[in-house]
Amino acid sequence: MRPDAAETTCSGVVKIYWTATSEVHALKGIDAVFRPGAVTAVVGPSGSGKSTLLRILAGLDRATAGSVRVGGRETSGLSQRELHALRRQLVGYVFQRPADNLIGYLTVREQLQHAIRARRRRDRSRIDEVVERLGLQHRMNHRPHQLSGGEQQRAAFAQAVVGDPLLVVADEPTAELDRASGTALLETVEELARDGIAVVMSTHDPDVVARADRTLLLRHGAMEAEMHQRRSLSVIDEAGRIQLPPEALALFPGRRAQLAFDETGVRITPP
Amino acid sequence: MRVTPRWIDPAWRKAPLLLLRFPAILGSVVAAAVILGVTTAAAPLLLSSAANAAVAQELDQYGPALAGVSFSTFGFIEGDKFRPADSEVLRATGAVPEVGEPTTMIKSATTGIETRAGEAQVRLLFRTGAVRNIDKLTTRRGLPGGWIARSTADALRVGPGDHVVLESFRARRKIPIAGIYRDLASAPLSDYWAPLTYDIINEIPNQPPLRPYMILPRDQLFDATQGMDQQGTFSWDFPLVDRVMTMPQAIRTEAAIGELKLEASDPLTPLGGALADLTLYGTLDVRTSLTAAIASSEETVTAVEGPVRLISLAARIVALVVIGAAGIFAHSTRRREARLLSAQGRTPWWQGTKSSVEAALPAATGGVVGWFIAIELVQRAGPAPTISAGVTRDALVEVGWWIVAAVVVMGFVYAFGTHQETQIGASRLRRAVAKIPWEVVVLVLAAASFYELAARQDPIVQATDEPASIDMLLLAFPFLFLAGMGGLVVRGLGRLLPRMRRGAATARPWRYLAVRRFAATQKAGLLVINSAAVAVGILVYSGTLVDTTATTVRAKAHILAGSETAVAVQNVEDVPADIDLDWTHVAIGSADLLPGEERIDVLSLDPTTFARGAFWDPTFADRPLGDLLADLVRGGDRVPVILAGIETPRHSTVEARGRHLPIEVIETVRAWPGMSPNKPMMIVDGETYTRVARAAGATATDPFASDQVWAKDDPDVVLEALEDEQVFVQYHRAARDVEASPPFRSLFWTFGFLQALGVLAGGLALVGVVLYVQSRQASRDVSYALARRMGLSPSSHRVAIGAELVAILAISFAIGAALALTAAALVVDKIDPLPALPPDPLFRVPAALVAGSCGVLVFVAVAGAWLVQQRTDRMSVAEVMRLAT
Repeated sequence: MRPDAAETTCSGVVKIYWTATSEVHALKGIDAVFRPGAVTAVVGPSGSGKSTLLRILAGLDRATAGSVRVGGRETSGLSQRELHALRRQLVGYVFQRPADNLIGYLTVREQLQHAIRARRRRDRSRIDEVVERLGLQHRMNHRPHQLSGGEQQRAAFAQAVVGDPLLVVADEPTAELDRASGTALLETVEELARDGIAVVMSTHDPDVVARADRTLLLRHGAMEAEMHQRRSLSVIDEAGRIQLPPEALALFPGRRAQLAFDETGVRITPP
Repeated sequence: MRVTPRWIDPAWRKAPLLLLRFPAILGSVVAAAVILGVTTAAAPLLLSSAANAAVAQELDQYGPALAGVSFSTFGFIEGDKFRPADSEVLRATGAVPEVGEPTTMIKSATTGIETRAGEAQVRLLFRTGAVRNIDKLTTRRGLPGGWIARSTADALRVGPGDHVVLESFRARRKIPIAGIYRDLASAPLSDYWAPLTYDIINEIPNQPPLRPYMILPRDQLFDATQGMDQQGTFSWDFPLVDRVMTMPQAIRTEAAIGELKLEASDPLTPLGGALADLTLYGTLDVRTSLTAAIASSEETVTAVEGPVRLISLAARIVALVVIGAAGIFAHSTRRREARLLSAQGRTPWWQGTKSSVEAALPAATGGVVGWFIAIELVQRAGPAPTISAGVTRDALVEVGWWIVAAVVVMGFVYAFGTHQETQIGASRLRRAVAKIPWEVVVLVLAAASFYELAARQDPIVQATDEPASIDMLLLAFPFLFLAGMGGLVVRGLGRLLPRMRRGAATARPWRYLAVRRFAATQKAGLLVINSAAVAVGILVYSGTLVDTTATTVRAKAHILAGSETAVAVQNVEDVPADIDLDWTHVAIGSADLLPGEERIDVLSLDPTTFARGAFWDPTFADRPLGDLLADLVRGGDRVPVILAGIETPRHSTVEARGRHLPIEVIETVRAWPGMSPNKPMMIVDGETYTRVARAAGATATDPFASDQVWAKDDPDVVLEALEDEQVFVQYHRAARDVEASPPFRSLFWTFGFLQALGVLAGGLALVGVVLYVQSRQASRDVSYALARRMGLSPSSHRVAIGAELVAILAISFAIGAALALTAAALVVDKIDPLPALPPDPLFRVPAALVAGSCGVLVFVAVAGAWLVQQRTDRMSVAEVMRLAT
């Protein structure tokens, strides 16, 4: 665990997109904590707000309301320039398509040098260590088009983690990889996270979910459940709201419930 | 610890040569930089060339001798006084740059010489090299003495070896005759004698030639006049060493001559003292034509400078816009990289700066290439091949600054594109601003420009006595009109696209594909059409102005001269009818049109030969020339006349040759060959006019009329033919000389420059289309791969690409050409370089230019389609589909 490691948190995060005629509530008050050294998978159906949450975490977008702290630093009030600095120094981002993560005219070595230079680190020995762990030693002098999809995505993670960012955000990183490549990548990501980096990945891949330390389930822009150590926990937001899973929701066709409190908890029943 | 590493980021390290990996971006940057280099360098180079050409033309007009420095004075012809002055003049003038060895001249006043057979009046002359520059008719080898003209020899009946006697009240001298030469006035004067034209040829019509020279060696002249108190003029003409002199050289030389004049006018200096001893009555004069030549040249350059700099600036702005377009193109080509770098925390300005660094070398290379091209263009096609020293270097420095600006623009546009794409939340204000139709703003400016042009009383192009000056709005208006109206038309075209798309739904595959593909990138496609339309418009507009001006100036020049060549002769009867020329004879006299007594020129012509020798344009009159000429020959008491430039009742009277002559106006025309500015002309049949004049008791001929030979031949040919027939020529005028005169030359240079940039603009249109084709290649590959799977044949695909390109180019061309011709038609009436002289501007569509441009565009479309298909055929469908997913 890094001594300066700090958590990334989001609290009551709301994101609304306005169009010419309407508005879309992409996120409706998300609360979550992403701890250093942990891999968090964000799952949910398409349109549930996964990518929006990841973009806000990575400083690529701003929340309409709520608070996001990366490494203890509140991001919601940052200027464009400060957001760029935040991304450059504290956040690594991995796109879904392998080819999108690498600069076409740089070799793997140069990609990593470029990334470490951005984070203003002097020590280039970290590159060798990361490359060794990702098994890319023999590909260091190759350009992206000379790599397979799996190698490209590993290189993408390598450039995301060199320079010791606090947070690495990956948008469905295994979506375009075959199963073997995806598995190999996940092993590496787990290992990299152990160095104190908080890794957040959106995914539809059950393997990723299985390997993640924690899984956040989003639905309709709200956090439906958090799965941790094989347990699924519903999430209660700061306003006291809780989202029922679809099968439970079917029990309430009138969308009204009766709450009963006792010493063990709360019972929700149809009226 | 976060510190800045000492090693360089590979992204920066590779930046300077990175564009080698992106040939299309590289090509667009280099092309735009070349254009920027050409347009930036062309202006100062052209102005320098124009200045040098103007100086050269002016000096050429004066001739090499007059163009230098001349000393002249009047005094007694005495060797003792002349020799010290001669020595001082040579010494002092040796310090003036660019002047050569002098031609020294001593010429006596008219004096009588005699033999037993008779007397003759001559002027004794010594002039350096005179004997080498006469046409020797009779001589005997080794004979000493003087040379006399044939007319003198005939009068005195002497030949080589004889003597003539020069006598004054104080002395009498016998001078031997060394030879006889052809009278100088009987043939066109050579360059050597040209400075003495007015001393040799009597310019007054129908007057005898001036007294011929008796040419003597210098010492013999002093011996012959010794003790006779013979007075005469002394002159030293120092010619320019090189007739092709640059403006700075001319200015340096003129400054040195100025100092020389001061020294000569100060009797306390050695030069001034020696000349004062020689001079009587304060007649010393030190002259140079350089001062006038420089002043006239500077006027020409001043007239050219404003428009040229404006055109150049407009072209530079267009080139910067192209650089900006290259920046947009670069950003769209590397959008994925921009997004990645942005995600990595690289700001748009960081990326823009990197883009600038990437563009720096190619832009610099393009700029230098453009600079070289500009030098070559100006040297080969400019007013003069000489460019003053230092101007090329200054032009390169200017190009350098503009390249720096271009690189900054490139980076800014790239950064702006990145910012637009990656910014978090676009402002509503910016979105609102983007919706404003910019074309309307530009059109309002165009309308204001046109209103200003139309409201002006003065012509917007003027070339009366001074070099033509061109109103800046004449150049600003079309740019604004083309850009604004082109934008509106293209915007309207965009509205039609959905309908076209629906219409193509059931069309053949190639048509369906072409329409769909174009509609898919509506914004980029319409931008290409708009840009290409503006470029084509500039090309056609400039071509129209050049053709219209050239035609109008040519017509005016021919009106002034009457034909290709007009030669005033002493006696037209000397010209044999069968001389090998397309010629006619006219006499130009004058008369007063009653009752207003307005002075008019009277052109007496020969109707049978006039059409053969005179210039004619059908726009001059409403009836054919043949009909008009036939009507001039008519019996009766009245002279049938044609009037040009004035109107009067059909039956009027003129006062000519001391009598009132009744005339009948058979036609009033807009213009007639031989007219002078602001002076009406009456055209008559020479024989009819003489008959009626005689009947009225007037003289048969007008003693002040100028007999002229008009010929549709080159002046050199005409003069040679007349010389062969021993016709005495008084002076001549050629239409081509009029066209090259200062009032017109600045006009041609300016419009020529505009047209050269118009051609560059046409090139830009092609660059735009190439960029468009290149930017669409990736999506084209994908659509082709998909379409092939659905059974599309390669030939249909090729036809679809060709149709797409042809449509883009044809629409651009049609819009650009139509708008350009409209703009030109709106201003053409104002482009009259010499409004005092008919005809009015003759609107000419540059048919060859339009046809040639059409051909080039079709070729580009076909070649582009072929190349795209070649490239598409080479692609791997599987690879394309893998990358596309």
